[in-house]
Amino acid sequence: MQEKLFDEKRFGHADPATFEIVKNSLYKTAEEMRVVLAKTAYSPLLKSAGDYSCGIFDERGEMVAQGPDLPIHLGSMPDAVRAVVTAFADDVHEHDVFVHNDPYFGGSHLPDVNVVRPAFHEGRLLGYACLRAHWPDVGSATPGSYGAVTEIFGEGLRIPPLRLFRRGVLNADLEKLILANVRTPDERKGDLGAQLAATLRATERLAALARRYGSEALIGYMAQVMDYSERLMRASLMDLPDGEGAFEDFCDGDGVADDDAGHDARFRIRFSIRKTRDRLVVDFDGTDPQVKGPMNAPLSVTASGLFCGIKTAVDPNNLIPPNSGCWRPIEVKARKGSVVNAEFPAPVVYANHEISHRVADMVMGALASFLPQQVMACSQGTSAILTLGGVDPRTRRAYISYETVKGGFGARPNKDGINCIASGISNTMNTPVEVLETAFPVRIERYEINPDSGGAGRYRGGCGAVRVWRMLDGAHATGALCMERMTSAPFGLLGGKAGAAAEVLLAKPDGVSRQLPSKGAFEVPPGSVITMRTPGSGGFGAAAERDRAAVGRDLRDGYVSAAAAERDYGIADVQGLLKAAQSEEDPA
Amino acid sequence: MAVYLSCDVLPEIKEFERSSTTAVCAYVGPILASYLKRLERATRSAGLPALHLMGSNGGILEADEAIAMPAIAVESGPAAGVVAAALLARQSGKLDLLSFDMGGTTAKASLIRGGQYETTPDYEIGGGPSMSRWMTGTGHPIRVPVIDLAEVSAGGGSIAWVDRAGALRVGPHSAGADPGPVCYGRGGSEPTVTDCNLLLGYLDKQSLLGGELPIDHAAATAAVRKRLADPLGVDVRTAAAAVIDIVNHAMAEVLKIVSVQRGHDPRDFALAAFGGAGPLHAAVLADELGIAEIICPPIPGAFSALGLVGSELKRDYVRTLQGTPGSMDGAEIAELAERAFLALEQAGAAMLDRAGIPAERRRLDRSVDARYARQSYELAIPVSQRPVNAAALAQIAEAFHERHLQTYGHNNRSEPVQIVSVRVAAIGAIPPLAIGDKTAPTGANAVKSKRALWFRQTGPVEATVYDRARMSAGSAVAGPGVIESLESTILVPPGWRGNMNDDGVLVMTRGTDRAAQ
Repeated sequence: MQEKLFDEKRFGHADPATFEIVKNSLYKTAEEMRVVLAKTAYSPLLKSAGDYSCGIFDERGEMVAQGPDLPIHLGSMPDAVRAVVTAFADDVHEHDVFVHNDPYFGGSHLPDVNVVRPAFHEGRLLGYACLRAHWPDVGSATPGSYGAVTEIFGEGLRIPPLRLFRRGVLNADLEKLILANVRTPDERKGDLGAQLAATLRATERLAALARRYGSEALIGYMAQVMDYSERLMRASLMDLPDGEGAFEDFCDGDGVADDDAGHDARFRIRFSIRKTRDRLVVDFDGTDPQVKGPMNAPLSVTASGLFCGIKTAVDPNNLIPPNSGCWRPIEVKARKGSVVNAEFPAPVVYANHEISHRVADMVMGALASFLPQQVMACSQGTSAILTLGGVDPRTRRAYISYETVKGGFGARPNKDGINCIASGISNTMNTPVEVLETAFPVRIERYEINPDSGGAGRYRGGCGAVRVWRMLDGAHATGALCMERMTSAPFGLLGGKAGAAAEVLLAKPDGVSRQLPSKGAFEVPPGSVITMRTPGSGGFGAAAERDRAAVGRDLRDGYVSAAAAERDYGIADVQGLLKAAQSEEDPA
Repeated sequence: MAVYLSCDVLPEIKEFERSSTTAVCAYVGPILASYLKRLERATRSAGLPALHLMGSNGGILEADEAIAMPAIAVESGPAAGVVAAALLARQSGKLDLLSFDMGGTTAKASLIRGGQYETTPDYEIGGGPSMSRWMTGTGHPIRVPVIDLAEVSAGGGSIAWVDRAGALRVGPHSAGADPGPVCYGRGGSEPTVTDCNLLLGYLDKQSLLGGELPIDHAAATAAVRKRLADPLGVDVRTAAAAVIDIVNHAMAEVLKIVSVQRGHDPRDFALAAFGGAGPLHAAVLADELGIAEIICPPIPGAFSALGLVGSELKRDYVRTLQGTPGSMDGAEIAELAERAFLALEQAGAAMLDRAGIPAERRRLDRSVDARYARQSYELAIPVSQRPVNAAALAQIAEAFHERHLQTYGHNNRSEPVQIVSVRVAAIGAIPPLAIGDKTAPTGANAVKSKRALWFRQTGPVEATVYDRARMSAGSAVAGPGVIESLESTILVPPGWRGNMNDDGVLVMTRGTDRAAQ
């Protein structure tokens, strides 16, 4: 019999039910924060696309429960709460609220604004609720705060851990300062209100649990919930064979020209993963130094990508509750000043998702050599962000549109990839076209699945999307792009082919059309048309092993063209295969 | 080929939800149509009254309406129980009820206020088990009003297990009806919630299907010992009680979703408990939530079916208001809304004409979906003003501010309120239905036996076992007690009292003033 999870001395009674009940209540609380935020936020990015994370933390800032939100924040949320714990130590009171967004103080990038609220019961600090939400704008020279700058000072308003409420009283000066530095202050005030409401709901729930079970017992159970996840994680690792693998990949660039011709140089990320019994060591030796533009990741952002990839591979059915305990078996080595462990004042805004996407995908590549049944081929590998900002000629009000466009989800050892869906570290939704067109002066002329963009393989990669925006008459916008996988396509695994690389075209009304680089700002006069092709995903296993009937269904469904069926799958009689698929009974 | 147009099915903003709703219609439509047509022919030739079916919104529909808009019938099953609970609320005068329906595999909770259930406009079908109806993303969204209920995959058949980290878990796997709980002796080897109820004395071999089923108490004990008690290092009863605690907590969470999360205090409500397992767990849930009163209808195991015959004819109509933001004044918006209301009312009246509902039994209820201009989710606000004018709009905005405060804990009176869609519910009332137990009590003495029940707080206590069939109006039961009937068992824990009222409804109240801790 294994060591008991419950220590009578600590809890006063050995009660297997209470642990389960408190654990479920803590996760339910994180979920409830999500409901409150989504239903009351103002910006489409939060209310429709869901770019935020909710968590419950202990008094030291360790994450006890994360809501079913964004894996991208798995590793970095605890640092955000620890920053508040460090900054305010003993000066934390009931009904205080703290706010910050500084990547060099536990944030991820400036647009992600953390609202941290302590929970108390009878004067005893129980822990914290933290809601990290992506604001569509935090100042800087570029609407949407996604410009290709060379220092963090150019990326927008930096808020170190500061007190927004003291014992329930608003620091109005701080609020004014924040709202004066963002482009759409009314909307931000609404989003901030939603963050305050959601964290309040969470701290009320924590206080109710303390009333019920006692503050000390609750705090003890919070520690046990993390130990529990650690124990499950170690047991899952023990089930898998030991081994070591490495993977190397290149990023398109950092958005800043590296020569007089305006060329943006690629840079390298490399790491090895060694698994020994119930431990993993990840070593970024061989990764390039930090770069000029905002593709530098604070270590906690890199760790988020790693944790996401590792948890997907080790716990594919998601049975282990995500919290800080899960990551204790993982050791990360990365040189300070490298692109995966950025040093102040390097700019960071793109890296938050682009580097963590990359690292999460690369985990699969590194593990493939010794855990081939646990991995999936590379997904789209980018958040594919397009921001448009300007003044809406219909209302004469400033607007910021921030969209993250979906691509392919990697093929798996037993299944095809998925078309046009968030993958890996990302869990945001599609921004509905009709909502977008109502809110902003754009028209979406096409939004469709891009055929042949899924990498060929025994299991085909998921297809990317084609999305086309037209600026309305009188609407001049400043656009900014933040993408990856334009020059290094999403890789396949175990013989599967790579998915199609990304591409973005800007056609101006004067007839001039050009391909846009993966990152940076550009002017969009009225009547301009932007065409984005998001990356597909890699295939899994050799294409020659693909079931012929599955190729026929791909032809019928339009995911694979006749030419690609011949070229990639060696189909001689394409028409015959297509006919067979068309006459096939649908599995009812 | 059947063709469904999204502009007919759902003239409402958001292309994905609209397309998905239309696709769901096209997917289920042909099967539903051929089935309903056959059934309709059969019922007509048997000389039965016109065929109706239960809609997801809790109203009944004519078969043709369901064929035209199949998405409105996909959740008809769970709706019936809530409709029945609403009937019970109105008849018993307990207008504010939490309805709790627990069977073998799932438990469902819903909220009834002022005798009316509520509906939600956002729903998803075919996804993973979703507790709150909001944790979505795995199924196909449909935008049709569905009775607002929360659901958890836990019931008598849920399997309890100890995971590899040494924690006790209940579900999500269920032993179902086959092999069923270990105590059924049909090959089940994994302990279930029913087995634990048996070990604690809440159920016994007499109470499971009136004693017609052979019950293997020893096998249940052995399974709980081997799978749960030994690995946890506790005795069998402690393990069984822990399983019941966990499952009760999961039930309490679904009741909180429809009450606390929606801004209602459960202590202001009575609990209506039904389904085969509902009355067994109800008192503990009431303790947990601070609810002072429980009502158990006659024949709780078949109570949901009553909703099918006790419902109103009901169809919802919706239209999104067109208009460029910021370009209209109040009078224009009011005029637009009034025109849309009139068009929807015309469609509703035509439906009621076809159904032959006379004028005095008709209702056309107006409401709007409203939000702060920059939000994305709406709250439904009833509209009583007719016609809608600028003054009415101000009243709607005021009602919205109030509702937002109640639901989310904050509001912003300086922010403009936008009306996104207008809705009309066309309702044809049916003659009222009375719930009652008309079977005469079958004996003078309702006491069957005594047996030991085990509670963690008290240890073993001796309880009186009653036969519901022999209880007459006015009989009282003081806890600890068990009331058994063919398809359900009511547990009256220490501190609770039960009284049978004139309609055969058992009303349970907490004897002492023991509020939830």
